[in-house]
Amino acid sequence: MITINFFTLLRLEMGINGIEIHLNEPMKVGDVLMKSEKILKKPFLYSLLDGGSLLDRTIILLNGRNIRHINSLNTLVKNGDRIDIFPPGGGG
Amino acid sequence: MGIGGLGCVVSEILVRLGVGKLVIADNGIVEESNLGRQSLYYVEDLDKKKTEVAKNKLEKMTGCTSIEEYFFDVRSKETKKIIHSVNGIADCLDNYESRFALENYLYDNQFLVHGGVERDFGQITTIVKNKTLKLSDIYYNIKIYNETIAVSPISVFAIGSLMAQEVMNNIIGTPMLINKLFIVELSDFSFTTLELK
Repeated sequence: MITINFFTLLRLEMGINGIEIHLNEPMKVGDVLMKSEKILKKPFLYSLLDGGSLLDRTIILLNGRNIRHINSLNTLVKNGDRIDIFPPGGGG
Repeated sequence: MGIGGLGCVVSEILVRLGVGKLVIADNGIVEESNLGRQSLYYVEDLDKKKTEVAKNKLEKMTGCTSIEEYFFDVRSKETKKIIHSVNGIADCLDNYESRFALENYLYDNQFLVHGGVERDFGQITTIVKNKTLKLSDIYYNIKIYNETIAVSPISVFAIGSLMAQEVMNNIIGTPMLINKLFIVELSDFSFTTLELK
């Protein structure tokens, strides 16, 4: 299983804290997110992505590391991994 | 750094805790829209420099804390001189461009407690040069354009109070948020600590 956790605006929008998904084989982050959206039957990718790229405000951590430092949406995930998604609070 | 919503709460708590010296910096003027969540400012302070108003209020709280105030943009080079006179910094800024500029001025072992807040959520972490990830690593490539950010006064007080706790944790040498991002969600009363790599 992989765990996908929603935080901040995404949690408010989805009304749930996250989802767990079993992968038969390693899959790209972008594909995992699309799979999640299908399972949840509620669109949320529009708030994270723009034309297949991460929006400037989207932070996705894979096991605590920003996926932009790895291979962005093409980063491979496998069972046991944890994905945390949030736009951070920007105000002060 | 930054004496808006978070800055007001953090500075007031530090003064009441008895911190000996506090340096505040901001280039803002008190506006009507600030009064709902920036606790050091009243109607009579409208159109005045935030740093001057805050200094006056903070000095009168306990009489035990020396307050230095600087009215300038945190991205200016003057920031570098000033932060070299302090043990640590509370990042109470309201935009990531300034935050990234500020963390680049840190010297070895100086701590920066970062806080960000929006609506009814926010996040905190401690940054130490060469010891933790940088904010610009955690929030790599983030851009938030000149949009007005809605902020609840409740989240400002909650996140500001927790930031002050982490400042104290750093002062006594036991920071809790080294390479950890603490996310506060008031919507469901949840606190989550993410390990950062």
